[in-house]
Amino acid sequence: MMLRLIRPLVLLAALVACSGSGDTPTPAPTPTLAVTTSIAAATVARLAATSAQITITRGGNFSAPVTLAATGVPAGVVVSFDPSTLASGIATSTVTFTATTAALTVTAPIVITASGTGVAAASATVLLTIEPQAPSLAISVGNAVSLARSASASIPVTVTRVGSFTDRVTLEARGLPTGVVATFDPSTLIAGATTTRLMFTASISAAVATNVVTITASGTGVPSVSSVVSLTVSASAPTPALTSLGLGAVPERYTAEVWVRGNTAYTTSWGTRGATRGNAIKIWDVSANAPVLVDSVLVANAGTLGDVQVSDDGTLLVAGIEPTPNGGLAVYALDTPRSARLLARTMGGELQSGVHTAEIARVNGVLYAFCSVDPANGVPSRLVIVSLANPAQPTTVASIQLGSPFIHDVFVRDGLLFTGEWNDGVGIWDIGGGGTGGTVAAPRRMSRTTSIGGKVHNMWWFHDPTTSSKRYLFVGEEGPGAIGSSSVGDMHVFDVSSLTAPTEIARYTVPGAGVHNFSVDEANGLLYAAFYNGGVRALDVRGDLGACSAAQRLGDGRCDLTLMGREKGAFAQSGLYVWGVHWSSSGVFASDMLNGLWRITPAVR
Amino acid sequence: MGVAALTHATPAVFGESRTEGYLTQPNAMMTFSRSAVSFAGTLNLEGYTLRRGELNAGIYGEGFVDRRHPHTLVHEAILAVTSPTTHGVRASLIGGKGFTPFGTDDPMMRPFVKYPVNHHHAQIIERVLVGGALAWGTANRRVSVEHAVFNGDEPVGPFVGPQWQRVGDSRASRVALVPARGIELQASRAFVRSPGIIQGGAFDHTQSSLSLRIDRGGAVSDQAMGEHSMSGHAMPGHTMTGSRRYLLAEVARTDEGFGATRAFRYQSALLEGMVSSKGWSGALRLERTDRPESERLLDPFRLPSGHIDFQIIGITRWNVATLNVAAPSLSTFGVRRARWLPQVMPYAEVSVAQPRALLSPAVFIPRDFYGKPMLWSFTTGLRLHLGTMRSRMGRYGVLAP
Repeated sequence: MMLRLIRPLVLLAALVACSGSGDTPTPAPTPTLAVTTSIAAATVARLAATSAQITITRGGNFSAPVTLAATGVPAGVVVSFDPSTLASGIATSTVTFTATTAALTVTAPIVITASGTGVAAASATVLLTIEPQAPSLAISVGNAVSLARSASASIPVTVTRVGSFTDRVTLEARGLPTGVVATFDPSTLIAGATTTRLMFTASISAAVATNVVTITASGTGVPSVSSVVSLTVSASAPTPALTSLGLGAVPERYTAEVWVRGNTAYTTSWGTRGATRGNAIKIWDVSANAPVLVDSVLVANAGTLGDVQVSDDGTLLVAGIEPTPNGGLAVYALDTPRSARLLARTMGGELQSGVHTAEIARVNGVLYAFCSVDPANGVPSRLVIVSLANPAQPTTVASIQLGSPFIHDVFVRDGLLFTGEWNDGVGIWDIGGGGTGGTVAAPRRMSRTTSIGGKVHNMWWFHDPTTSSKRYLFVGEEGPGAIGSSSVGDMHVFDVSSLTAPTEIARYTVPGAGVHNFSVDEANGLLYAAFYNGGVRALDVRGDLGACSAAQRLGDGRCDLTLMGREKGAFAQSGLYVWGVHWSSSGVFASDMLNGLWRITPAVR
Repeated sequence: MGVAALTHATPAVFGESRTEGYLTQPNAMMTFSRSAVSFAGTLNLEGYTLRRGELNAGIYGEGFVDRRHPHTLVHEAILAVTSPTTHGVRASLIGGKGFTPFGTDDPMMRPFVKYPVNHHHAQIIERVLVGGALAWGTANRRVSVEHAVFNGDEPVGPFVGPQWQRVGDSRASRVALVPARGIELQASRAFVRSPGIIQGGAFDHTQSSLSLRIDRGGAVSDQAMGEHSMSGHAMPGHTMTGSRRYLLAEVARTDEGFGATRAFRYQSALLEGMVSSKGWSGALRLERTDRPESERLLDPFRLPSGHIDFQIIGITRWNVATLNVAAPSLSTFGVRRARWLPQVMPYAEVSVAQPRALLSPAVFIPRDFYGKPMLWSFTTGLRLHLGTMRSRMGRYGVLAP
């Protein structure tokens, strides 16, 4: 039995002994490839992307390049690898899932497959969820803008609403250089609207510089987005300066209106400066450059005076008195141009609410004062027409409730009465020259036309002696302002070829300032406008003011007189607040509330 | 009730001092309640006693400046119908003339005699209104919502009625939270159409108010009359048997413009507090309020109603500190009076104000106009009180105190 066991053992031992010589070949290891991802699941919104890292592990004797591919990719999703082929020795790649707008909101397993030559492919799965696009905004603006002082330029601004956001978008520009204003037309894009225009308007004193302007679009429930545009303001083509020839200083009162006849000027005063009332009419010698005060008249029971005017024959001086309850008219006889003798000072009656403006004009040989009376104590504003046939006894001949909420001023010419009815617009009345049977005592309204922006303040019906044209009515708009500091409001141009259907055709704006009173040198076609803190501006108003190029036209169809190059001069410096300007054959004079009476150089066509 | 006041203001205007005396805040209050219907009314007789206004540095409105304007004769006449409680909620329909649901308590119901500058930022009163109120909870733990439409025009005189055709052109809403007894948080907002010119067309006002009011403390009793006892929100005229602590912090803002387009903004912050014990009280008010300046009339304390031409002549920021001390009813000191005579409570009040121009250059320069940079006001007198008074005004129906 023992022998029967030993024999095989010996044979086995011999066999083992023979096989240990090292000549026998070893089998090659099996090549392997494995792949893993840094995330098992990912979420991506439409128009967004997300990435993950892919790591491969080569095994056995496998070291060849590996190619990555994705399968199971839902429609609208793009999968990319960086790199898509991993060379020998490279073990990581980045996969990016990008959802386009066409992507469906689904969750899908995306299989990442790594394959190489001579090795079994390996795979890993990423569960990708596509979500709707987050509500957001995008904005794009036009190219860089360059413009000169007193000019405007516009660029398009486009917003794109993303995702579920469909609401209105408001726009704002910041970083504007001093003296430049930006206006969007429109400034709010209602649902569905995507494009607006941004207009930059540089004032005559705008800072010459290049600024980066930030334009921001904002909507409810979405983050605001911004874009920038380079804005360059150059000093080229400046408006000629109107310079001061002299100042008649008034430090103790605030100066209001000015009227000039010959070498004598008259200014009124306004409000309370310190403890000093605006109750003085000042009489100036303006025969030299610097106005020289020669006399003053104090109006009894007056705290503020408004208009002042000399009659066409030079015999009467009339001033409006404001406010309630001592409003009225003061009528003086000018025995000499520089000697005013009181004839009448009205008290009580309809004028007591305050005569804001009083224009005197002759109709059919009779002198009248057209008084714009303030609303007061619940009594609405009204136009009161007072006969000065007997200037010592002014007599009311007509009284009409007008204006919403004010009637501010009138203009009378050729038997027509133009009324500045604030938010009710401009009225045109026949008071003897309109052919409808109207009279001063019974004016007949021919039309009433609202202006863009409302707040109609004053008017001037321009007669061009060179062409006999009577086509244009210049209309002042007085917006909210802080007297002494700020003002707002444009000058509007109406075509009154048809007195029964005037149309607004043009505007003139001074960035950062608002218009007040006008005076026109009709022989030279030059309009001088007081612009409060913007000083005095001179405009060429001859020719066709409604004919302009597309680039000179505003979004509402009106022509822009600045863009048309109509600005012919400016008297602008810091510390001004010009109430009125008066052109006469003896010069151009500006009443400055803060400083007094300026004489300035006239504009040149 | 009423307040006899002697005021010395230095300077009052143009560097000049003024000393004037009045019977101010003469009111007769009426309340009526039966079943679901309640009525709150107040006759204000200031049109008779201070027709030209009361010296009150900084305050403005309704054509008065640095003088508080007299209120209208029918100050308050509100009828309310209140529903039963359903699921903890009660509702009231409210109509009449009175306080709109905006802002904080009328200064008349607060510890000081002189009104704060911000009266026209923080209250909108004397309007014909139609509205409603909803309240969840009890008076000590409550959420309430009020809304009303009314006429935007401000009264132009103490005996002049409202513009009935304008009722509905303005609106106000207020939300109030009472988390615990005596504590109230309120937020309100209002749009007021053309308050300055009654026929319309003047600036509109968009107003906001936010406040915290704490009023805790002792029971109040009319000791001398021995008539009744009120708890909680007692007004200063009452004799206090316990101690009371009162605090009001408010911010308010008024935007002037056309509809939603703003032309000017005026802001206000006010903090006032009072402590009292056994009828003695001390109160301090600190205020910073912006006000518009308009062209003055020949009377330097009067303005046009509404800014002429939408123009202002400046914005003045008023920093004002006011201190008030009050004594209990003279009956506390053994002064005997007949039952039909009012209680008499002495007080003294001093305030110092520093007005400063916010716009420059401006044509209204406070230093030049008043003649000095600081304005002092000294007031002393007697509070007079007879009968039962409401502790608060302007809360109607389900919110009536």
